[in-house]
Amino acid sequence: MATATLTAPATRDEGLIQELGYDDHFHEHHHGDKYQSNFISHYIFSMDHKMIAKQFLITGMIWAIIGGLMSLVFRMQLGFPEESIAWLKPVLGKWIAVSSDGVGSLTQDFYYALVTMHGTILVFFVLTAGLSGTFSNLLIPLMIGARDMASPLLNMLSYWFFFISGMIMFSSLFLSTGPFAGGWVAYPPLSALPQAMDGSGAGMTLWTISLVMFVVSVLLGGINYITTVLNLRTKGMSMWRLPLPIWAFFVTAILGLLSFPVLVSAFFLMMLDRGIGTSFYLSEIFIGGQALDHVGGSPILYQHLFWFLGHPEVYIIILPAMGIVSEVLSVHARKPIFGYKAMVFSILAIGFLSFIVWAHHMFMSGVNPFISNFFVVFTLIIAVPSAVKVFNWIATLYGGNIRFNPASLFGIGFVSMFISGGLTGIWLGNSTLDIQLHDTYFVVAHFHIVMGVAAFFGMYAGVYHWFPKMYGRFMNETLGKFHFWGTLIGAYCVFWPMHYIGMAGVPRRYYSFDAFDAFSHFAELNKFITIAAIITFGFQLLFVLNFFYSIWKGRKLTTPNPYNANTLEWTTPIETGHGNWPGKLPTVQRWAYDYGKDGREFISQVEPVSEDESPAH
Amino acid sequence: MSTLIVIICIALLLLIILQIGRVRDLAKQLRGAEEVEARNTQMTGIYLVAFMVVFLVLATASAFYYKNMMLGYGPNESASAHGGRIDSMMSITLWVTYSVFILTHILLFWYAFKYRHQKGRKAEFISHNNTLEIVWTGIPAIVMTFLVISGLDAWNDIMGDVGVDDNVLEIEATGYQFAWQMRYPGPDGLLGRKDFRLIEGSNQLGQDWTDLKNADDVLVNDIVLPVNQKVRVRITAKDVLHDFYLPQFRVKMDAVPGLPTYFVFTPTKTTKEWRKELSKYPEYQVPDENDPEKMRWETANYELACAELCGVGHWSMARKVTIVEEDEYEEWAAEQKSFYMENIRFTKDDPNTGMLFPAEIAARRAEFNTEANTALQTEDDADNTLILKYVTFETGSANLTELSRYQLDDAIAFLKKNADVNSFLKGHTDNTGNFDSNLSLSQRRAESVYNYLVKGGIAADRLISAGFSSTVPIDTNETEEGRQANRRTELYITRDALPVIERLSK
Repeated sequence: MATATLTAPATRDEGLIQELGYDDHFHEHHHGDKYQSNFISHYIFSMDHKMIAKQFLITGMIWAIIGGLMSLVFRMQLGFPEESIAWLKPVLGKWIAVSSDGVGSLTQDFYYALVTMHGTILVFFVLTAGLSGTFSNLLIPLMIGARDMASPLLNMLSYWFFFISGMIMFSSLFLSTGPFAGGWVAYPPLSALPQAMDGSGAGMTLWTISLVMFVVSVLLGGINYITTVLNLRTKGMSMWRLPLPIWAFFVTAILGLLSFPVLVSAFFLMMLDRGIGTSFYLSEIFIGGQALDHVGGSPILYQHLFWFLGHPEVYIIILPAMGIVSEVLSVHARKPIFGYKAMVFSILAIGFLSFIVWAHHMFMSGVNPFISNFFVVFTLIIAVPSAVKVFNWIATLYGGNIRFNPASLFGIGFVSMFISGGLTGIWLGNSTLDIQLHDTYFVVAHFHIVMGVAAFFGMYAGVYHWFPKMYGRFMNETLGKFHFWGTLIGAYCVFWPMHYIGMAGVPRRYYSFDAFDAFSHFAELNKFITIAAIITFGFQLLFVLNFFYSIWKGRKLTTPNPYNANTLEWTTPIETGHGNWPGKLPTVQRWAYDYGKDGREFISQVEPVSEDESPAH
Repeated sequence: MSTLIVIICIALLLLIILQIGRVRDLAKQLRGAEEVEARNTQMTGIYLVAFMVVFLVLATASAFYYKNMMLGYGPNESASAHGGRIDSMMSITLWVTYSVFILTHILLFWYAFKYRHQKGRKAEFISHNNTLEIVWTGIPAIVMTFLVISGLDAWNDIMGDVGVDDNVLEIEATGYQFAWQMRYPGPDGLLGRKDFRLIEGSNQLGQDWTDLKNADDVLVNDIVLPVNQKVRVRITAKDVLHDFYLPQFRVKMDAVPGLPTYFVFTPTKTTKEWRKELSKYPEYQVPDENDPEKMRWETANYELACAELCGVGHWSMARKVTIVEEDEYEEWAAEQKSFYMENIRFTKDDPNTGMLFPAEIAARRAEFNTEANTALQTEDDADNTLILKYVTFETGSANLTELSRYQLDDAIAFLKKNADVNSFLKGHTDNTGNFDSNLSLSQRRAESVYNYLVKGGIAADRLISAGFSSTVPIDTNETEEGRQANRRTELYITRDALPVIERLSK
C-alpha cells in the first residue's frame, strides 16, 4: 500500500483511484499470488475469475467447433443426399453406411444423433456456458469493482463441473449404440425407452448425467454471480449505476437459478421411469412387441417441466448478449445507452415474462387449447419490451460518432438478427399460426436467427471488445471485419431460405424429404443452405485463427483504456493481476454512460461529479 | 490423399488470409493510422448501407419469388374451412412484421452510416426521452393487442371440439413407429373401445372385441374423406409421440400415448379440384419424377405426415389423403370391409361366438330362403336337400345350441309361407365312435329339430325325422374339416307326399 501511494499515477483514472478509492487492505492479505504461484493453480485449477472466464470461453469455442461440424455433416445429408460421403468414414466409422457401389451416406441413427448433439451442445455448452459463463465471470467483478467473485472456489468448481459434463457428453459419442438421438428436448417416451431408439439406451443415460452435471455448474456459477452483484459492488456502485451487461448477467443468473432445478427434477423423474419402472411420463405404451406395465403417466408432464426451464433458457442465452451489445454499442457510438432505465426494466420484464410463457412450445402437444390462450397473451407481450430494446439500440446509434470495429459491427449485426428473428416470434407465438408452423423449418429459422446467430453475434461483439482486457492485445481488425461480413451474410443465407421452406410446410428433423410429394421439391434451396453453412463455418474458423494468433501475436495494448470507455474494467492495469486493482478499489461516482456529456468525450465512472457539470441523466 | 490436399489447401488459404490481415494492420501504422482509419470507416459505412439495401431488396424479392410457397398464396391455399383463417392471420402478421422489419433495418443501418465516426464530430448526449419511449412502448403494445385478439379469436374457433348436434364424421388415426393406421367407424358411426394391452399380431390397434361398436370398424392405411363434411380426427399413439400433420389442411396435433387428442376440420376441396388448381402453376407443369408420363399436378395428392420426432423413421410416415365428392365417398365406404368381420369373427379370438349380429341373421335367412326357393322351383330333386349348417348341438348330446334357433326359425317361417311343402329331417354323424350310439344320437338330434319345428307351429304331419349315423358322408372322415362337414342336419323339402321311413337299424 505504501508503494502504491508513493508512485506517481500512470493514468488519470489511477490517480483518481489513489485519491478517492476505497482501501480494503487487499495487499496486506496478498492471497492473490498464493493462488497463482504455479502452473496448475494459475492455468488449470484457477480461482481467478478472469482465468475461469478464459477457460469457459476456450472450452465453449471447442464445443462450438464440434457442434458446428456436426451441423455441416447433417446439412450434407439434407443438401446433397446423393453425394457420397464415404471419405468421412475414417472419422465417423460405422455411422457412414457404404452401399455396394461405394456410395457412402449417413445412417438414419447417426443423422438423428448429430441433430440432437448439435442442439444440446450449442444450447447448453456454447451459448449458456460459453457466453454467460465467459462474460459473467470476466465482467462482473471488473465492472462492479470487486476483487473477485464472492466465492472463487465455487467459481472454479462451476467450471470443472462444466468440464466433467462436457467429458461425459463427449464420451457418449463413442458408445456402440451411439449418443442420444431423440432431439435436444428429449421428449419421452422416445427418450425413456431404449426399445424406441438405439440412442435412448446408454446414450440417453450419459446425456442425462452430463446435463445434471451441467446444471450443477450453472447453479454454482449463478449463485456466485448473484451474490457478487448484490454484495461486492464497490463503494458508490448502486444498482442504478450498474453497466447494462451486469444487469443482464444478474437477471440471467436469477433465471438460471430458478429454472434449471426444474430441469433436474424432470430428469430425475425420467431416470426413475427408466430405471425403476415408475410411470411419471409413460402410459399405455405398446412397443417392441409388448405392452409395457406403465399406466397413468403423462408425456406432457415432462414437456411442462422441460419448457419451464427451456423457455427461460433462451433468455438465459440472449440476455447476456443483449447486455454486451448495449455496452459495446454505447461505447463505440460514444453516446450513452438510450433509455438506461427502460433497458433495465425491459430486462426485468423479459426475465419475469420468460417464466410464464413456456407452454407456447406446446400449443400442438395435446394440452387443453383453452390454456393456450394465456400463453399466447404472455408470449406476445414479450414483444413489447423486446421492441423497446431494439428502438433504444437504434436510438443509441442516432446522433453518435460511431467507431466501426469488429465489436461494434457485431453489435449492429446483433440488432439486425434480433429484429429478423424476433419478428418471426410474433408469428410463432400466435397459436393460430403455430398450428401450421409448429415443428417446421420456419421454427428452425426463427430460433437459429434470434437465439443462435444473435447470441453468437453478442458473444463475438464481447470477445472482440474485451479481448484486450483478457490478453493485453488486440485481435486483428481486418480479419475481424472479414469475419463479421462473412458471418452476417452467411448466416442470413443459411437461415433466411428456411422461412420459405417452413411456410411450404416442410417439417424439421427429417432425414430425407423424399417420402412426401409436398416436401421433396426444395432440393435447390437445401443445396444452397448447405453450401452457405459450410462457407459460414469457414468464416468462424477465421475467428478461431484470429483469436489464438492474437493471444500471442496481436497488437499490444499501450494504454489501459483503449476505447476511452467509462466502466471500471478499463481502470485496471493492462496486465490485470489477481485482485484486479493493485492498490485501492475504485469508488464509483457516476453512472456508466457519461459519453459526450458537456462536450467531454467520456467521463470515467471513477471521476467525481464536478460542480459546474450539467445535471445527471 | 485428396483429403490431405483439401486440408493443406484450407490451411494455406487461412494462412494467406491471416497474412493479409497482418499486412493491412501494419500498413495502417505505416501510412498513418488516422487517415487509414477514416477511409476504413467511410468504406464500412458504405458497406453497411449497401448490405442493408441488398438485404432488404433480396428479402422482398425472394418473398415475392417464393410466394407460391407461402400459406394462402397460389397453390398453397388452404384446403380446409378453418385454414383460410390461418392463412389470413398469416397475411396480416406478414405485413405487420414486414413493415417493422423494413423500417427498423433502414433506421439501424442508415444511422450507423450517417453517424459513423468523423473527425471533429461530437456525439450528442441523449440519455433518454420519455415521450419517445412511451410512444414506442405504446405502439407495439397496441399492435400486439390487435394480433392477440384476432389470433385468439381464430384459435378458439378452430380448436373447439364438436357440439352434440353436429353432423360429424369421426375417424381415428393411430401413429406408431413408423406409420399411421386409420380407423373408420363403419355404418354405426361409432368407434369401438380399445386397450393397448389387447394389442397383438391379429389386433394391431388393441380393439376390444367385446365392445360391439368395434364390429363394423374399418381399418385402412390411407385417408378418404367426403368434401364439405366436418371431420373429427381422434388422434392416438401406440408407442411414442407422433404428430398428425395434414399440411394442406392446416391440421396438426400431437399423438400422445395414453392421452387421445383430436382435431376438427372440414375439407373444402376435392383432390380433383385441387389438382385442377395446381395445373395453373408452372412448377406443377413438369413431368412427375416417379411417373414421367404424367405432369406433377396430375399425380399430386394431399398427404399425411408426422411432425413430432418419433425415432429414426420419423421422416417416412407418409399416407395419402383423398378428398372426394359425397357420393363417391358413400361408394367407397360401402366397399370397405369391417376388420372384425373379415379377420376376427368366429376365430379363437372372437369373444362373441355366442351371438349373431342382425346382419348375420339377415344374411343367413336370405341364404336359406334362396336355397329353399331354388330347390322348389327346379325339377331336379338332388338340390332339395338343404344342409342346415348353422344348426348345431352341444357335444355328444341332442340339445340344440343357442344360435341354432335362428336358422330353425328361418325354416319355420319358410314352411309357414309354403304350406304345401313337407319336410324330412335327417340327422348325420361322422364315423368316430360306436355306430349304434351314433345312430341313436343322429336320431335324437333329428327329433330335436323336429320338435322345435312342431313347437314353432308346423303341423306334425308335414314332418318326419330320421337318423342315419355315419352312413351318408358328404366328405372324407379322415380330416377334422371333413368330419365336421359330415356331422350335419339336413332338411329335405318337397311338395310330394313324404316317404314312409323304415327306421334304420343294424
